[in-house]
Amino acid sequence: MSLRAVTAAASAAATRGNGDHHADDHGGVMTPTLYHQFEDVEQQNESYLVGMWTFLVTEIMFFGALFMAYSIYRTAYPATFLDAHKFLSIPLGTVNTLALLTSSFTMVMAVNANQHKKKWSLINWLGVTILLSCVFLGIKGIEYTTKIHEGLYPGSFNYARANTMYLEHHDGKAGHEAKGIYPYFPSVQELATGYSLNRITPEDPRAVGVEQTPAGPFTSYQGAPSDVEYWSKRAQLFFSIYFAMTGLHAVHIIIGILMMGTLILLALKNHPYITQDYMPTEMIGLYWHFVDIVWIFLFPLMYLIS
Amino acid sequence: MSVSAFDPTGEPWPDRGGGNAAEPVEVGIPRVNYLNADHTIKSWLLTTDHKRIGILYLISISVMFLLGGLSAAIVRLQLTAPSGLLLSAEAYNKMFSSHGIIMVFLFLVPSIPATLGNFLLPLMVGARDLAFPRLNLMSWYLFIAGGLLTLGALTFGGVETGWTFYTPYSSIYSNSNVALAIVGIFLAGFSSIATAVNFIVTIHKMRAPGLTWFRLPLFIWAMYATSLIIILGTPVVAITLLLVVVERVFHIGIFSPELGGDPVLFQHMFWFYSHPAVYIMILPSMGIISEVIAANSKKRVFGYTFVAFSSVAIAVFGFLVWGHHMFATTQSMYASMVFSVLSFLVAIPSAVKVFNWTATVYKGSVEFSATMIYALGFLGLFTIGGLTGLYLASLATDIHLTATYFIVAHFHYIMVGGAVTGYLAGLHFWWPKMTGRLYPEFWAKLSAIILFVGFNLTFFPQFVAGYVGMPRRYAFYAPEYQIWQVLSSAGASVLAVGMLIPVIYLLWSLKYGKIAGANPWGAVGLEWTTSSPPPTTNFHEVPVVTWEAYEYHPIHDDDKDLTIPSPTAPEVTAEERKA
Amino acid sequence: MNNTMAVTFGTARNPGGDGHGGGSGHGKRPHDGTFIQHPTVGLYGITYLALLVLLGVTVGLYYIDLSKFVPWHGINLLIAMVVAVVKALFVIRNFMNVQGSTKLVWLWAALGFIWLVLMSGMFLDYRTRTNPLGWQPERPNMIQTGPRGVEPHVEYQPAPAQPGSPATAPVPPAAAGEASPAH
Repeated sequence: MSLRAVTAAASAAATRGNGDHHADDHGGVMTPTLYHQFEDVEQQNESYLVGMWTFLVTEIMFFGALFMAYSIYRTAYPATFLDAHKFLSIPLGTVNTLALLTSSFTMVMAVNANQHKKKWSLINWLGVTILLSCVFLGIKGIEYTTKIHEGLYPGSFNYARANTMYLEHHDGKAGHEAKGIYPYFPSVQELATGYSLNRITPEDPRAVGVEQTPAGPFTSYQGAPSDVEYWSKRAQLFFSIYFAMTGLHAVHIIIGILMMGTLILLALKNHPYITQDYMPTEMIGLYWHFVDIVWIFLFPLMYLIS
Repeated sequence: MSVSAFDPTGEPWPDRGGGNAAEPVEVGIPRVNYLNADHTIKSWLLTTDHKRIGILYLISISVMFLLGGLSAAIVRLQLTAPSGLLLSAEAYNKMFSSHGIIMVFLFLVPSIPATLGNFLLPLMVGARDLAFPRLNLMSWYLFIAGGLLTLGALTFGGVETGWTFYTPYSSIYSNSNVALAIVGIFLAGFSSIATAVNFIVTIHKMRAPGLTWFRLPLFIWAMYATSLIIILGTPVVAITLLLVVVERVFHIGIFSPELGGDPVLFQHMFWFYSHPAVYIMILPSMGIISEVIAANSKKRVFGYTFVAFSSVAIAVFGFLVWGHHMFATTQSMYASMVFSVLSFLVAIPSAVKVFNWTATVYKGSVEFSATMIYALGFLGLFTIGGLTGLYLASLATDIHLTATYFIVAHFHYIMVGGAVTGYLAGLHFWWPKMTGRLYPEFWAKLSAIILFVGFNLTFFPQFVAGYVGMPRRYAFYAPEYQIWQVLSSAGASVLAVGMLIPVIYLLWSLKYGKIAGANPWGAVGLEWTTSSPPPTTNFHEVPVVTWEAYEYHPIHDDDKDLTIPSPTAPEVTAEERKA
Repeated sequence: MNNTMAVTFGTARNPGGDGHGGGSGHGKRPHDGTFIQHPTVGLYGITYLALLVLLGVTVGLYYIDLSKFVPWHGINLLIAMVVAVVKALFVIRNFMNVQGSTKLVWLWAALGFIWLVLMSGMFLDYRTRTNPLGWQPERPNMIQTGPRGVEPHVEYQPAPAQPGSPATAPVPPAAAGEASPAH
């Protein structure tokens, strides 16, 4: 049956009440409970959508503030961000992103199944989504324990040890930063006056042993990190932001898993929230897509700094 | 008998619109209304009726106000002598932090939206309830949980950082209950977000037939703008404070200068919310003033469209000026200049409103009821508060005045002289609707005047104290400032009297007040078409709105009597009225 | 103005939006101002594949140094962010069905991201500062220099006292209990 017919019939057949009526299944038509404050099901559904999106706006601002703090520090310390990110595993991050993107797809398939009243299809798709999110959390757990093991956890930070371990793993090659050329984001004054406090030009005695390329105002030079204390402090800043952002994101994933689990339980019990109404599933789907979007931005910003 | 709108002993209006022919609105308190629909505690604690939730909030907010007021009283006592009377410096820090946290996060932000907003919004838009009643109940429980946590943190140990929680003191060095207090504030923040989501969806989706956007009461516009600010701003302070907790507990430092972080970043993120927060506190009050002035002048609010749009303009522009709290930090001079200009601009919509309200009163049929005294007081006090804000927006004077008592006086003029005065005006104005009873008008007028006098006595000396250089948040101060502090504390005792008298007579009126009837003020609005107190479903049938906002009928000069103003009441001729 | 608002925000009882769900991949359904249209499974699949391709682009971008072509090292970041925005738009438009919902939902989605841009007003401060951020351990004796060159760092020396000047006049005893100057 077309979805329009479903909703139109629902409006006609809906029962008013405070959630204690279980309407009959009119042969494939969904009859969601119409709560007393609403006039018809369309108004109710749209209200739920607008309400959920309003909540997502708050979530955008919630994560957005963290992204803002990240950008401020990244533009202030591009060199150390470039250096510190090498401790993050890009393959694991890519697998995580794959898992979340796929879970987004499976979630939207679950919503679709609910709209067409396919109960077992819904449960299966939701189950796959939960599975993929658990994969994500598992890999996150591996990453976190590795960081703690290496000594990169802000409570017990030991950059020197982590650096040594990294170089051992990578046969002494330090990657991008070995070239000693870093992007630099000059401030307005620096552009106007041509003078910079932090930027290191090729003539500067600190730019030792570095490949000399033509310098513009957006390039800074730095020898290999020798002042461990300096780099250690900045790297600790990077990892503070890393743990704060990925930690908050993981908390949201856990909440999402709990909500999807609840949906599965309700579906198994043939609760009218699932059998007679697709809006709860759709709203949780919206939340899940938002969590996915946060990770879409988080992944290149944290892992793929180049 | 005289049917003057302001004579509560006259006959109540005959039923129109609020009931149907078979069940007219009853004379006196309706037999079945939302208050007596069910008497069990469980029915109150598990209610989804927005009116009951509004009353629950009213009780909780009043308790918060009392506690915040107590800490203020102790602060004021301490400051009567330069070497301090009661407290050590540390205890004083905890006391003013307590006052600030309770008053800002637990009283001012939720007060009008959660009490009057919850109660009135569905009534004013003609709906049976808010969009998400169970979310509404959850928001109250979140508020209680957050409030209890915060109060516990403040009582057992205290917090010394000030309500602003500046880093790195709050994140690294303080040994007080910062983390617990912040978690409480976090929960209270989510309570206000839930309320705001409810309001936005209700206003968009659930207006009665015929109620277009430009027929809405200005209180609704104010609630809408307030909800916008809450949605867009509260999450930022939530995450900022959460980062402070995370730094204290897990040492994940983002604001620590030792790591290269910037404590001023905390201030940026904190004030990104906290400046719009002050608009959360004042906008609902402005909405109330629109209603009260219109009803007491029997006139449409002058420049309705301008006032409506200025509410939204304040909400939007309020997000552009947060840097003016940081002029004396390492914020760059160029950013400060931009924020200074924007801060001047943000005063314009507020001024538009004040001019429009004044024009509303002009040539209106003005009644100096208690609510009108509060409203007129608001006009004067808010203007003073707003104008002194301009001194602070200008960079040069701000360097001299910031972190002095000038700032304290400035924001108290707006918060107490503005927001609290408006809240009291609204409480009195809609008290008959909420309880079905009228309060004694004489005592209400008297306490409004006492409040006005006491308030000015308390806070005007603080302007002078700040100007001559007394810093704020000091437990002990130089003797030359003592005269101003003593004046201020003396005024505070008068202010306290002015705050306490309403508590007494409002509670008295619950049992002994005159029966109010559906529309004791003769005001125009959907909420006045239903009985007082309203039935649980607000209206017996869905109202259809065919009149514009504030459609007061013009006064007829020939009979020197007040015309029946409500379009929902019958047009009574002069003869019928004299009969 | 009333009309536009009516369409966007809806008059009472006629929640607005013209439900323009007629984009590709949506089923053939009548265009009703109040109906929420949903995409087909095919559209979901295409979106998912597009997201995977874009993920590949993002990761590949990491290994390609675009600064060879453009003299700015931040170009990689910029392109990566553009790609991320495109991915987010795909998710919002198709998975979250903003396309088929009312205009109000679309407005709300846009508003959230626009407001984020407002917060970047913080950059107004950080990009115009003259003082460096944070504690700089490798430059313990940092001297703030300007375009005129390095100013010598001189210890403060009070001016030599002149007889009869206020500096050498007897200082009156400080008032008891006087607090130290405000900071």
